[in-house]
Amino acid sequence: MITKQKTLLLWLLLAPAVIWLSLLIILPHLEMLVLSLRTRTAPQEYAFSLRQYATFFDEPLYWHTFLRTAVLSLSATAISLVLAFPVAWYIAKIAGNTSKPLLLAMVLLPFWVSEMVRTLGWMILLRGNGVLPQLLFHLGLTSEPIELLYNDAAILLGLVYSSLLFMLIPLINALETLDVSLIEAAYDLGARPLNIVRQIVIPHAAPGIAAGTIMVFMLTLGNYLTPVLLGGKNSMWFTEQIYTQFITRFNWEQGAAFAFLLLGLSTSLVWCGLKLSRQSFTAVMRRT
Amino acid sequence: MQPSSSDVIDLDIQGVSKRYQLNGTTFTAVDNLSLQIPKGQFCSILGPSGCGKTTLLRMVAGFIEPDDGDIVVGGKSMRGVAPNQRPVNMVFQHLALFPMMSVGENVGYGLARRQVKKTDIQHKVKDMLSRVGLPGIEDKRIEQLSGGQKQRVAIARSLVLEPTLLLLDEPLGALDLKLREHMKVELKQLQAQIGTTFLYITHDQSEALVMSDMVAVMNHGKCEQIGTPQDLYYRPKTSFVAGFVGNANKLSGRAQTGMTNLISATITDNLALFCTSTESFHPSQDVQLFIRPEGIAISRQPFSADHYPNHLRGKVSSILFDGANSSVLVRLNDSDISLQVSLPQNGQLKDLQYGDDVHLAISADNVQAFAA
Repeated sequence: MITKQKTLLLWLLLAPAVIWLSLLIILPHLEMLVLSLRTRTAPQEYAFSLRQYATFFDEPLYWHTFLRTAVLSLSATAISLVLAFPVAWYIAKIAGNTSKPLLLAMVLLPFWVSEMVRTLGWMILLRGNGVLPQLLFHLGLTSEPIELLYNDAAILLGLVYSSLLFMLIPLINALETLDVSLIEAAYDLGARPLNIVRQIVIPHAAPGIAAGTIMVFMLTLGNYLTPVLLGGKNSMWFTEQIYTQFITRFNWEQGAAFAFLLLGLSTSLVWCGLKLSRQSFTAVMRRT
Repeated sequence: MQPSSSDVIDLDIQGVSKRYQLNGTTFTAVDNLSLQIPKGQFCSILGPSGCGKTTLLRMVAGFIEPDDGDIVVGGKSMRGVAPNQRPVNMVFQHLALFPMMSVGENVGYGLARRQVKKTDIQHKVKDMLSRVGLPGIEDKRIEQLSGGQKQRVAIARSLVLEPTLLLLDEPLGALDLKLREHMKVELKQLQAQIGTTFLYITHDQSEALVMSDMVAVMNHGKCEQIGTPQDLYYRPKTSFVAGFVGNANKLSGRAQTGMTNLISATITDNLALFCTSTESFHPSQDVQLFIRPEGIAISRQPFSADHYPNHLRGKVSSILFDGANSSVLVRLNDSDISLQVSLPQNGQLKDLQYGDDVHLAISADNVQAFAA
């Protein structure tokens, strides 16, 4: 009797998670999978087909965009990691107990504003008659105000800016648990600073690095707003292609196929990353 | 003391000071301290927490730069020399073994940083591990080791670099009592066998007394006394050392004029004790007296008057049984003073009961007087 009640309680407690998973994640994805694998033979008649996936490989624009998105996302992730690491180090190891919450709040503060508004802020700074080009022009550094928007650098800037926090938090968590005496011990045994970073700090922070990298990579890969706003017509971001198929062209089958290709890309890259850094997925998730 | 060694000084601390600014006030952690450790000695720095001993150790290791003075290791000034360039290695309080490496990689870490050849490293690591009694555990992970094994690996990791001086920052503190007692003996034997100069920091007087050739007692950033454990215990130079090293009954009183080579002090109106001191007092000066529990003779019968200058009577107010270290608290008649008195080792008074009348006798040598 008691065990029966316990099982019931367990299911009740699990229910929100199960409903959330099945209704919001599994079900839509199954629907998408079915959608991506069918083709219309006649009005209201559909048959199984791999045509959508074949289109992707036949049309260079699509897989160019796909590769470009992957490369730019990886670059944005790498830049985020390089920028966030010293900041995380400062907050976790150098900042005092009073300044630490303040610094964390400062990191968090931009995220109180919506991503859209933040990105528009960058547009105001970077556009041809915006703040930065005018400043450069008046300082005599450029002969005319130059357009800083609508290029890859602007996209990268926006992506890094919007994902830095998600790199910082797991890094700070990972570095906070690093015992300073390990660093001192290595120093005492004759290690140089570069040795210490490579042999002590990075191995210790590895799960945090992996967690932050995965999060930032997923976020940038699936980002739509930032590349479209800062990259303009040239952005060529893969999510934009998906949007176009679904909304502009009403070609849901093609859109679903693209969505699955993107899911495959992110999954395989994350898997490769974990394998290359010899991290276990569970250890990483514990740090997130 | 070990014979061959006394002429070479491995560590020479020359008038070192370190001050910190804390909320606007200056706090002197180490105050113009000088200390010399001859080669091959096991030297302990003993002091209560906050006495500056850790600051001193970290200055020797190079993690803190002294404000004044100089630290000379093996004849070379360490001013401006980074920790990774010093001929000094440290065993950390929590050992700081690298959890991301195997035991062998831990022990070989310093050698690898010196660009020693891989095969030589393997050979030296193997040799060092067997010297600390842990042969063949190179491939184990750190978390697979017991507390005592970790201890020895941490020491091996430092000793394999053949430092002039090994610093140990209370490495036994985290161990449980039985293991700590065991490691004390082991560490002393290891030091004697290897012959490296050890500088050991502790607040535990038993660790310092058991292991050391010489002990420096530190308080408020200064050295109170440097000497052999026996010196500190039997011939303390300051009241702090008398009170801190070993167990002692502490009484306060006033100096009396009188006898030729003995000093006496009034404790209360009806109690006066003959005592010895290296200091001289003027009449009525406030003094502190220290009497070791084992320096008091206890008996049911009165002591013959000519053996001891001090005779007291009292009642047993508490029995503190601790095997061979058993003692009793005796409340003196006609006063509210209680003295802790060790029971004779032969078990003569093991049947002593609460409330029993006892006679106490103390020689003047066993009552150490210091100016209060």
